[in-house]
This record gives sequence, C-alpha cells and structure tokens, in this order.
Amino acid sequence: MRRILVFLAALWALALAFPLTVTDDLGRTVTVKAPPKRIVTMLPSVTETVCALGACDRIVATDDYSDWPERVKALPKAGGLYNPNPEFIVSLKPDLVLVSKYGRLYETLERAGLTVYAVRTETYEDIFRTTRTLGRLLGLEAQAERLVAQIQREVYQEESRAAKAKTRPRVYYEIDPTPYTVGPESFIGVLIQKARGVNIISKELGLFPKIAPEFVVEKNPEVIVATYPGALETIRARPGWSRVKAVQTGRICVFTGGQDSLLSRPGPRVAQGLRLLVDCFHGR
Amino acid sequence: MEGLEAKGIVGPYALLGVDLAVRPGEWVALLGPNGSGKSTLLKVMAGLLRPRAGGVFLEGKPLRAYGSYARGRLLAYLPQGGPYPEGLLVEEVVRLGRLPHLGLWGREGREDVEAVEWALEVTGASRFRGRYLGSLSGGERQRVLLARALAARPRYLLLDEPTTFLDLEYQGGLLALFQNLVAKGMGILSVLHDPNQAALAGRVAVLKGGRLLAEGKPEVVLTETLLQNLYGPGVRVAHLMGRPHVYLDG
Amino acid sequence: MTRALPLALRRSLVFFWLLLLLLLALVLGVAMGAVSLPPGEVLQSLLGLKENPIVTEMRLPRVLGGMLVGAALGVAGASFQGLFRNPLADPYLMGSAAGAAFAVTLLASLLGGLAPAFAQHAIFQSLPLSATLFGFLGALSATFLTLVLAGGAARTGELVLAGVVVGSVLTGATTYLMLQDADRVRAVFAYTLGNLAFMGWPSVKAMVLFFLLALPPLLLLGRVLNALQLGEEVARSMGLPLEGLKLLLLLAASLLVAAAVAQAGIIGFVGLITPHLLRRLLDEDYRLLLPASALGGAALLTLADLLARTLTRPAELPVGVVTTLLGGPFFLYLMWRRRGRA
Repeated sequence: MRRILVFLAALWALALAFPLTVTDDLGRTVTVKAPPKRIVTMLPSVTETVCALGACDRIVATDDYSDWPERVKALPKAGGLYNPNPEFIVSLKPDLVLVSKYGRLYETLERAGLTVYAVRTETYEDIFRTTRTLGRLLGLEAQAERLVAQIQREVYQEESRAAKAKTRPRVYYEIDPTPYTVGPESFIGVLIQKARGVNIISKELGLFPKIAPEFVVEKNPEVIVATYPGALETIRARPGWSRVKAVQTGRICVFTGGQDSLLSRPGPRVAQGLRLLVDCFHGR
Repeated sequence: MEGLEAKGIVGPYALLGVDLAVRPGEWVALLGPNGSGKSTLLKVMAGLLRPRAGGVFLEGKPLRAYGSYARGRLLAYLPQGGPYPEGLLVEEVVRLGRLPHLGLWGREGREDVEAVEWALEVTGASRFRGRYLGSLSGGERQRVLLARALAARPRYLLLDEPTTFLDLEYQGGLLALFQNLVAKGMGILSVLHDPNQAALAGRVAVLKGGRLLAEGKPEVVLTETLLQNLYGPGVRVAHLMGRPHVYLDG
Repeated sequence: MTRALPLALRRSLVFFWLLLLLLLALVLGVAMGAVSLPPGEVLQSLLGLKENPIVTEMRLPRVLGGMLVGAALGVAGASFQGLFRNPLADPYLMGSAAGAAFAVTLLASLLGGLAPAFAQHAIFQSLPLSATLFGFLGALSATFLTLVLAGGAARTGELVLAGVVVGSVLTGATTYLMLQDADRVRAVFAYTLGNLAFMGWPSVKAMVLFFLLALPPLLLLGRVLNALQLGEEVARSMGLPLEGLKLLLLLAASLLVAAAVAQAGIIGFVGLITPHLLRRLLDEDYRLLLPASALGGAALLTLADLLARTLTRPAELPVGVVTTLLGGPFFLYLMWRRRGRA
C-alpha cells in the first residue's frame, strides 16, 4: 500500500513538474511539455550524463564523438560540432535535442519546430549543474541528485589518495604540440589541482594559452602530461627540453583516445580522469 | 649577302606572304594601317616570333642559326610602349643594352663604357643620366630606351613607332639621328604610322592586309592613289623641294 | 628625384644599416625572451662558461633559424616581384603556402592527430612522417602543379593565374579536411599562422643546406631580373635564354620558400614588405635588391618573432599575427605615400 502511495506521489510530482519552462545556457527560454522520450544528444559529456541517469534507452541519436557507454556506439550519428546534420535530426522526430552552446545548430532546429536546449559543459562545476538540469529536463531529479552525490564521492576518494602523497609535483599539461597548455581555471586545471599537482601555468594566462617553450624549460616541471598521440617522441626531441626534469626522469604521461576523453569531458566519469592524473603524478 | 632579309613570311596573325629587306646604311620605313601586321613583321624579323612559313636571313645565314647573344649583338629591338624599370637610373638602363656583349656574368670593360657613353650622347639622354627613369617625361624616357638599344652598337635597329610620345622638337632630332646612324653604316627598319616621317627614310615599304602594297623610294611610293587606298579619300600629297608631303583635305 | 648623396655611398650605407639591424636582432633575440635572464648569464652561457639550455639550445638556434627563414622569404619575394614585374607578388604566389598547409593537414588526418606533426625535425632526420617533410613536399608539389598548369615558365600571366587556381583549390581541400575534426582545426590554424617555436640546431642545419643550394643561382640572376624589367620581348631580343632562366629562378626561389614553410609554417608579409621597403632605398637594381632583401627579411622576421615571444610573455603570439599586424598598416602607409607622390 505504502509503495503504491509513493509511486502515486512520484507521478503526481512528475505531473506537477511538467510542462517545464527553463532557461538554457544561451539564455533562451525552453519549454518541455512532457518528460522527453526521444532525445538527441550532440555532446559526448551530455550523452554520458543522460546514460548515467538511467535514461540511455531514451536516446535516439548522438553526435559523432559520443562513445560511452558501449551501447551508445550503435546509435545513429548526427554529425560533429562543425558539421552537424540537422535534417537527419529533424527526421528522427525527437522531443528534445541537447546541443552545444557553440555553433548555430539550435537556430536551424528551432525553425523546424523542435525543442532545443543548449548546454555548456566546460568547467568542473558544469558537471553538477548540467547533471541537475538534465535531471529536471528528463523528470529524473532524484536520480540526478544521487548521481551528483556519487560523482562527488568518487572524486573525493581520488583526492584523498592524492592527499596522502608526500610531494606535490610541478606539472606541465600539453593538449597540443603547438604548444597549447591549460590554465588553472579550466576543467583540466581544476583536476590537476585536485590531483595535488602544481600547474606551472598561472591563472593570468587564461584557460588555454599558447605558451613559450622556454618558459616551460625554465619552470622545469617534474611531470608532463600530453594528450595527443606521438607526444613522447615529440617532446623528447625538442631543443633544450632534454634538461627538463620530467624528460630526464621519464615522467611523461601520454593519454590518448579513451583516456583523453576521460580528461576532456566534464561528465559523470570525471573521477576516472582524476584517477589517471593521481596515478601519473604520484606514481604507480 | 649583307642585310636582314625576310622572305615569304606567312603568319603569325595577319601576315600573308611578305618579303622585306634592310641593308646596312639603309633606313626603311614600314607604313600601314592598324592591323596590317607591321609590328608582327618587325617581331618576326627581330627573331621574336616564328612565322608559319618563310624565313628571316641575317647576312645570308638563317636567323635561327645564330646564337641568341650573337643575334642580340647584331639586331636591336625597341617595342612600342611596353614596361620599363621606373626605379632604375637612366645610366643603368642604358648599360643594360650591353647585355648581348656581356652575357649574364661578364664584367664591363672599356668598350662597354664607351658604347654606353656614345649611346647617351647621341640620343641626348646624357643630360638626365643621373635621374630615375620613372621621373622622366614620355619623350625623355623614349630617348633613354632608344639609347639602351643603341648601346649594343647593333648593325640593324628595329624600331616600333619610335616617335610616339615625342613632341615635334624631339621628333626632328630623332629623325635626324636616324639619318646620321644610317650614314655611319647602320641599317634601320622603323615602323611608322605617319607618312610624313616615313618620307624622310631612304625607302618606304607599305603593308596592308598582311601583304606589301608597294616598296621603294618615298617619292615613288607615297602617291595620292596609294595613300588614299590606305587611309581614305581625304588624303592629299604635295611635293615640296622634291619630297612628298602628306596632308588631309579639310 | 635625384639623391643628394653619391650613389655608391648611399648603397653602402643601406647595407651597413641592414647588417647592423641584423646584429641587433641577433643580440636582442638571444638576450630577451619569455623568461627574463640577466645579460651576464646570457653572455656566460654563450661563451660556454655557464650552461643554460634556454640560451644555447633554444634561443640561439631559434634566432638563427628565424633569420634564415626570413632571408629565404625576403629574397624569394624580391625574385617573384622582379620576375612577375608585380610589386604585389609574394613568395607564396606559386601556391606553396596552400600546398604546405594541405600536405600537413593531410598528414594530420592520416595519422589521426597531429602527432609527430610539429616536432620540427630537420628534413634529413630519421623520423619520416614529420610535418616538416610533408610541408616541404607539399609546397614543392604545389609549385610543380602550378608550372604544369601554366604550361611551363614561358607565359608569366599564365603562371600567376595557375598559382591562384592551385592555391584556391588546395586551400578549399585543406579547409574541408580541417573541419572534420575540432582538434585539427586549432592545430592546423596554428600552423598557418607561422611558428618558430621549436627551431633547433637540426632545423638550422637544414635551412643552411637549402640556402647553399638555392641562393647562389638567385643572386647571380640579378642582372636577368633587371633586364626583365624592360619587358620579356626586349630581354629576349638581347639574347637572354629566358625560358631556362625563368625556370631556374622559379625553382630556386620555390625551393627556398618550401624550406622556409616546412620549418616555420606560413608567415605572411615578410616576403612582400621587405623588397618594397628596400626598393625605395636602393634602386630597382636586383643585383643589390636580392641580397638586401635577404638581409632585410632576416632582420624583420627575427624582430617580429622577438615581439611575438615577449609581448604577451610567457604566452606566445603566433609570429604570423605579428607580421600581419605590423606589415598590414605599414603597407598601407607605403601605398599612401606612393599615391601622394604621384
């Protein structure tokens, strides 16, 4: 009896919750009439979050880069950031499309009469904000809170591991061989700090500065992280870099492919990315 | 077998079979309306264009048999208009004329210096030898470009409308210069559009529709009949001091 | 427009100042950078008394390499301006920039990332799949394609047209490949803006090799370029074997451009502005203008790179941005002065 009452209460809450009017990350007003059942996600981190909320079967198509969980790979693909396929999306008759706030995809889809919500998933805090928002949009607010709590637990677990380490190494994180690196206020920058590493880049340089190589040599990082293939040979061969401590001791961690995704998608698997960094900084 | 001879030139473009010769010490004026092929014929005789039929002979040998620099030492060509180096000093421009003798890497010797001096003197360009070509008037520039052609001390001079840009004062000087050069043994073939200038030459050749209409001394060739054939009914010829003068009937 | 000073003196002065400027660029370039080093330490490191890889392994080869790249662009720009009788000709006229960018982007898409890509290896080092090699081959291939399309070096007008066509098509193809991957966009874009960041001693050696190969023929062809200013008909009438000479000129200049682009990416304006500037000081005498453009280009690029390294330190601006931001307005100024004179 009690169970029936709880169920009815949930249904009642759900009924009250919808239709839902929210403001998305572009400042647009979006109205969702009922809990969406046919969702298209155009951001890998959003795909992961929706699936982590248990609503994976509601996704009818994703963008080209979504690849977790495994079942998502079989879903039809609707393009990438620069080359989305709006016609295909419309043909699927989705009741909610989750797009990136960059690009003009939302305009095209809006004109076709679809419900579009633009998401920003760039910073560490965005993980939790987005999870809660998606929970509201999907009518899964309770699951969202549980997911948030779980993520935070996992993160805290890794942070504690890192806290036990004796040293806090100087870290240089290279996302591109031009070279581009990350500032402390970026998502990766926050992870570096949580993993008890000291980013040689200071916050005045912005989120993704193009750094002078001699600055890196001067700062003499003890650990280098790179997230593009072939980084090891590339970095070792650079003029003057053989003196860098990280190069001398061989403490260069290269994360590509799936591992790179863990570090570049602010989503439910953030703790796994953090684990990679903790292992890299404090040895295993 | 002296002379620059064109035999049976057909093509390119308008030429339909032309024979023309310039001998050393001779000034031949080539007249004709637009499109008659005058400039083309000149280029063929300078070795710059290849005819579809016929050939050009220099001192009896086919022009093609000469090495390019050897040809350049014997024939100098001056086009009508065309690009010019604004930023070069007049002296440098005229010096360029010695290229057929110096080749790419030869060093200038006394002969070269003397030739350049002579060319500057004779064209009156030495007055502005220290100025940039771009700062000169059209007429002054024309004289410098002519000096460039003369600097090679060629045996034959091929000129396309050399009197364009020149006002009367200089035109007179130039035409006198031609007579002077010819007297010293140079052969000159000049394309002209003004029959009065052509009248000063030793021989006149008239080109129309790709063929030679007439050739010979000016007083013989420049008749009213012929000129009206070329230029229309209003053309008249008067004879003053044994020379034909062409004018338009008002 | 007569000059006050005697010609020989004025010309010597220009070269004197150019060498001085170059020396200044060298000194400043080694002394300054993203990291502030006291001059004493810099000196000690140069003399071998104290070890500092920043000075000896990074700045010195970067400055020297930058000089060689700048010299290559300057002399190639001057050569093309003379050959095409067009003061707006730049070293990339034959499509070399587009060719290099395309080849590098192709490499990136084949490797699935910009991997060994911007490891600026010298062309003769062991790593075969480097952006340096691809950029070099791409630049040369595009130039050959232009030559073939124009039917040889005979008609200058056709060459310009063919270069434009080849450049446009390759740029389109590059953009298409670039957009297939968001990461690729950033990296290729950085390449197209020019980057001297990792010029080390191997790069310098490679550049020197290409210089020894391609510079002598260019310098010897100064007189030909002068004659060409009278028009191709006159030049031919004077006996110059123009077909062969033009081809030699194009190949030598293109080789230098390909080597420069391979090492440093696509740096604009240096090859355009340097001959322009020097033409006003020297005459349009290519026997002098070519070596002067080499010196001038070297100084210009080195100083631009210095600005790129120090203006936003420790972050670096792409050097192509600096040359464009400086070169663009300066070019406008030159044109305005020119119009004023006429």
